[in-house]
Amino acid sequence: MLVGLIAAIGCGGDGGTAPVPPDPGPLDLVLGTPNADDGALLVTVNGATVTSVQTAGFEVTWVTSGSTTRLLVRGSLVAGPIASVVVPDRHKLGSYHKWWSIRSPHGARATRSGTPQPTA
Amino acid sequence: MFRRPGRARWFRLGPFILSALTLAPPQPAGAQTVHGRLAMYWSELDPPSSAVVVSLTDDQGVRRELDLDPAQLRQLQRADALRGGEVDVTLGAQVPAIPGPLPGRTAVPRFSVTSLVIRTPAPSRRGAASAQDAVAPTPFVTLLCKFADFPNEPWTPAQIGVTLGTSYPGAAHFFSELADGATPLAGSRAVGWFTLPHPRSYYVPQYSSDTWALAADCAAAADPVVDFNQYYGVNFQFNGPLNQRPTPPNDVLSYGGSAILTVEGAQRSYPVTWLSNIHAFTYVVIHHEMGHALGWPHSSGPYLETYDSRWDIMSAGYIYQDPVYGWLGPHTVAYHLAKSGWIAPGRLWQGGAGLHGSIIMERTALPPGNGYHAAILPLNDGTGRFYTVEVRKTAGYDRNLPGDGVLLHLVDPSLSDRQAQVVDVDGNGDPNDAGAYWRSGQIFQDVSHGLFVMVDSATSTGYGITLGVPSVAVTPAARRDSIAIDDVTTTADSTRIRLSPPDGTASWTVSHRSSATWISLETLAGTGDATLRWQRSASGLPIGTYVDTIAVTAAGMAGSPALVIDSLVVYQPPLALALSSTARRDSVLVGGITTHADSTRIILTGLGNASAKWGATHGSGAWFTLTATGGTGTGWVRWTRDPTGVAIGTYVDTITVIAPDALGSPAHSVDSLRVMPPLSVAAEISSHRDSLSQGSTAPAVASANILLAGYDHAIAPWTGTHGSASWLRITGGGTGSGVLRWEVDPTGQGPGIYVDTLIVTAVGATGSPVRIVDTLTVFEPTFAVNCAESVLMTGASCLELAEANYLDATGNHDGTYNLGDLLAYLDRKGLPLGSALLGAGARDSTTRRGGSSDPHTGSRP
Repeated sequence: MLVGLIAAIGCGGDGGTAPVPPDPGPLDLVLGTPNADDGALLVTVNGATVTSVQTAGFEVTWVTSGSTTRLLVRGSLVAGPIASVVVPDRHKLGSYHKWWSIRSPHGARATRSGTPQPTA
Repeated sequence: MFRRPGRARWFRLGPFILSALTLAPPQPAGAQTVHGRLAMYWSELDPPSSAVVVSLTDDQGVRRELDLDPAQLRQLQRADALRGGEVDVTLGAQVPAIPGPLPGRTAVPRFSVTSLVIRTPAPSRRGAASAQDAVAPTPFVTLLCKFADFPNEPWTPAQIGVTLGTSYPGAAHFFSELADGATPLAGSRAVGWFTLPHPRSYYVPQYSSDTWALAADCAAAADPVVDFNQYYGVNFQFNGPLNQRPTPPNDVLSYGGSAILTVEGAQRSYPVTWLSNIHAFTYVVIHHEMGHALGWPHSSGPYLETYDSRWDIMSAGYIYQDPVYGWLGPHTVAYHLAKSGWIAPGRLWQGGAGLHGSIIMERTALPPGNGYHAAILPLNDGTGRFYTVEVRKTAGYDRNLPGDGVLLHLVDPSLSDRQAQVVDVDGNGDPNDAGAYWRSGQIFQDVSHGLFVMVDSATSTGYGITLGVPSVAVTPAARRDSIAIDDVTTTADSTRIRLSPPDGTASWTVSHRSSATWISLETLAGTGDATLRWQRSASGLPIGTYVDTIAVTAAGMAGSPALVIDSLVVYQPPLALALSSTARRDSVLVGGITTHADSTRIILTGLGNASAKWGATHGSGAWFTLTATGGTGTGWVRWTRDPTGVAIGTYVDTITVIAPDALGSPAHSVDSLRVMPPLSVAAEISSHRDSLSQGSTAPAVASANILLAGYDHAIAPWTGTHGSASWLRITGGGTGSGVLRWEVDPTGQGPGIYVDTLIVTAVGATGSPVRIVDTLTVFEPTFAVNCAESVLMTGASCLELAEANYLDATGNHDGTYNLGDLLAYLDRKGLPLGSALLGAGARDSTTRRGGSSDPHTGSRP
């Protein structure tokens, strides 16, 4: 399985040295999995405060403490978006993608890191 | 001299002998014998150490210096003749003079000494001590003298009188504290001004002062005004500086010591000081110089320095800088105080029995009314040396000592100076550090001289000290025992051998001084503290009292031999009666007809026991019959118990034995008969219930009291069994009344109600078997779903172990609670995520968020 953090909007900038304004918004949790139905997933996101969570058609409960957020997602899960986390500044994606992990109902732990892909 | 901290400032201390006349001395003649008085001072030829110079002033006032050999010096020192002693001296050859001559004047000639005879020791000009005050009065007069070419009068006599006064830190105040509250300087005063006949340059070349001329001229000027007979000593306070030190830091000096003055029409030796103008209010200098005038030499550490001891105004001196009065010094050492008679005889410990003792010693400064103030321990090696022991603690002028503790000095009275030197065991050159004073638990030992000082304890103002030569003692020192004649028993006894100071290597031997064979020593020799053991045996001894002495001998120790007086009394015991048993009992089953016999022994001892008669009786018990009622000498009393027709109950009778004239007569033995019903068994409960959570693996422990009663109930066995339930295990059975224990184990049991029966069987007992119905209810645990979620999401610990086991057992069965178990549970129960409760009595779901600071719940789509 694979979960990627992808910015929902593009990022910009003037290329200069002036400060970049924050870009609040959602980041999609995208599942890549060979299983037909994992049933439920426990997702851990480290690196920034998550201000809210948006569902993608599945049951979700979540809890955040400091810069760590844990989500429990339940349903007939297949590859694709399973939820979105809203963060204060998507420019700081670099601090989000380094640490995230999932845990399957079978107890096996799988982690995956990758560069979040901005979406239009 | 001593060094002032901060600035390296020095001043001269040594006493000088002054002559009122400056006649040219006669040339030495062979074997010339001169009668006169001696005086001494310390030279500064080799500072900072000092060398004694002894002068002889003859009956015509002619002064000569004497080049004494060490033996002659010790002879004079021991006789206390150096300060004004009257002697006959046979002069030898003239030797080079010291110090160098003053400009324009002839040097004092110096001679070797062929022989000397002491006529009288140093005269005492002190007043008589009163009955209330052991310290003799020593009032001083301060004479204000100005040089002929120095007309200024910088202070009034009243101002200078303050330095002598009784207010802190005046000399009378200072020396009163040193004299334990006595007032030796009472009556002191200042007088002046008086004009010297010569300018300052006459008396004070750059690096020397003609102290003889200064004293003589100042005293002569004051003689018409001052009655010198009223004073013990004289301070010469000048309005200009005396000489500078000839070596760096070339500071201005003051002096103290003694001088021979011609006043009141007579020539006398006076304690004197010479004070430069700059020291007029420098109290540490004034006190130090007056100490010399009072006859105190320097003390020091055991090294080459004279002014290195911060324990003495007569050494380092400068130890405290008062914000108003400037530098002040501490007390002087015990040797100086004792030398001046300033320690009352009853306060100076000079040796107990065998030069050993335990004493309370109080601090030198402001001591309370009781206790010793100092102690002297002679070395007894033929040198005349001794130790002084004193307690120095922060108080009064001793406010800034190097530390609080017990201070020792090794004193050699034959030395010309520094007779008392601090005992500094670390030998590191510093007599003011921890190696120079002792505290509680510390011991000083001079092994070669067999002396020690042990600090036993501390009080607020002093220390408990044991000191002297090591000692041996026994505690207790008397023992006693009594043994009946013909008693062959051996008795043991003991006492403690104690060595002071404790010394595990010190050996001792034990003996007893008579040929008596009734003592047998078990301890014959040993080392250190130990228990002395011996035995006594009266076997074969006739009636009487026996005394022997056990001696503990430790070579060289005080108290040796330590004696134990041991006494043994062999006596004839009187006739006495005793019973081997004073209580007997029996139990029978009701309806029994068998008679039971019993007995107890009659014991007669002491005088006439073999022929003594005794008789026995009993009370009114119809079931009781005496079968042997009397006899002679030691024997048996016998009886029977008959339960025939006796109802259930407990019956008591008393046997009384009388032996006329015997101690312990009459003697009694109480006999009891208990008639009991048949054996029965019962349980305190007939049913028991447990209610346990599904998933729990901890067995519940249950129990029931099993009661056996009736005949032989105490030895009747019983067993416990139960039905076929696999969840029940019996763990107990027994004999007599006891507890039946069992365990209820719900492991693997699903929800439901389970019943089994426990059976207690006591063979032959009425009521057997006894049945107890046990019921186990297994229920599904109740918990919040969001709690189960929190365990996975935050690591919260809100699930009980049984609840987690239940979830796993009804989930994926992999031995641990995890996401699969939660998913299975939610699916099985048809519950959503974040569901609050499952079943009744569930917990607060909010608190199951595992410490989230910002808990959120998601929503279903």
